[in-house]
Amino acid sequence: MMAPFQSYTTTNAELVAEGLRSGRWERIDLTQYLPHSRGEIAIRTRMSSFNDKSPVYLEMAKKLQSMESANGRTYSSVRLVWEKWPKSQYGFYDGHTDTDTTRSSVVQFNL
Amino acid sequence: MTPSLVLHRLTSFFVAWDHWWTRESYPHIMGIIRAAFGAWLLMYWAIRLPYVRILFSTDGIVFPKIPEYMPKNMEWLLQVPEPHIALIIYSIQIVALITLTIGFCTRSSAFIAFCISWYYFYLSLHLFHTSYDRLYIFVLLVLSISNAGQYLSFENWEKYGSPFKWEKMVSIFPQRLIAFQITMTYFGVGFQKLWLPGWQGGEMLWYSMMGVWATPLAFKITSYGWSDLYHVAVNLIKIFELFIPFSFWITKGKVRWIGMGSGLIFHVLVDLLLYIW
Repeated sequence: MMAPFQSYTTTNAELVAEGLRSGRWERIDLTQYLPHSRGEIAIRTRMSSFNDKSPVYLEMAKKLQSMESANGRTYSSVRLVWEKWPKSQYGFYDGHTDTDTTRSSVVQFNL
Repeated sequence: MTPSLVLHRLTSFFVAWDHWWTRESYPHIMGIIRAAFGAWLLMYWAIRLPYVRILFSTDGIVFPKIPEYMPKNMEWLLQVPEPHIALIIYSIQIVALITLTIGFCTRSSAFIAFCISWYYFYLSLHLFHTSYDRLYIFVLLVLSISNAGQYLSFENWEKYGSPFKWEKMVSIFPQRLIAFQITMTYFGVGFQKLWLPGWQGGEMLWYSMMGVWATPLAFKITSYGWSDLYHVAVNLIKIFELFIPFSFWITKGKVRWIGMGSGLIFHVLVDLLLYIW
């Protein structure tokens, strides 16, 4: 029997997509491509149904590069990174500081 | 205890079992379930209209999951469709849900909506490990074998001059299936909380109200700081989730209605605090 909220964590995490343009990494707004709530976007980016997530994330990075290009933003490279930070009782991003946030690389797609 | 007595008792048991599952019943409950559930699903899918292309077509980030039981020569069914195909499939789903809600070609409508919902599950919704989508797909399948169009339906309006008129008694089997599934869903979810380590204290609720699903209201509450009331709330959730599935079957007094009312309050709170509905 699978039920939601079987356990809890003390950190929040988010999949961040960034594109490389003119030597700088820019954040890609995923809400254009993954609608509805923050919770839905979080679930859709976790790819929990897939045992081997690497090819799926690589495909996602390729797709983002292509879609951003169609929207007028051309990146030579797109990377996906998990950002994790401590939960805060005052807001979802309140604990998201430079010192407390950790980043772990997922995949990078180079054009 | 003689063999004939044992045989007699077994026979009586199976007759009672068969009667409980398949006796005839009034069509009202299934008619109301069909109309209410159909309207709910119609709203659930209609709000996706602005996002159909990015959720279900090559225009979006869509990763289907091919089920293991699917024959290789049918895997093309789960290729991510072009936007115009995705819109056609979506339109068929909406039409099927409209005809299901109003009770026109009820079984066919339910079956079409079941097939398309099943398709959408493996196309995109499989990413949600626990979601109401599974229950919706199950209920649609049951409706496709039911006589839920025998009351409160367009079909009855055509036949008898009013959607509220009815003539035929119907088998209670589909109603029992849905009731049993909902009972087991709540029971399973509640029973496992008795031993899950995360559910032995109020921290479960406290941290969930700061997570990805948390609403502004949830953060307003958590901003007041930790309280032992979170322990109380977690234990109340466990008590109610175990009470609710049994309460559905107790017709004495107002127990059943208290159970349904508790369930309603629980789901309203889940929506207000975690935006899950």
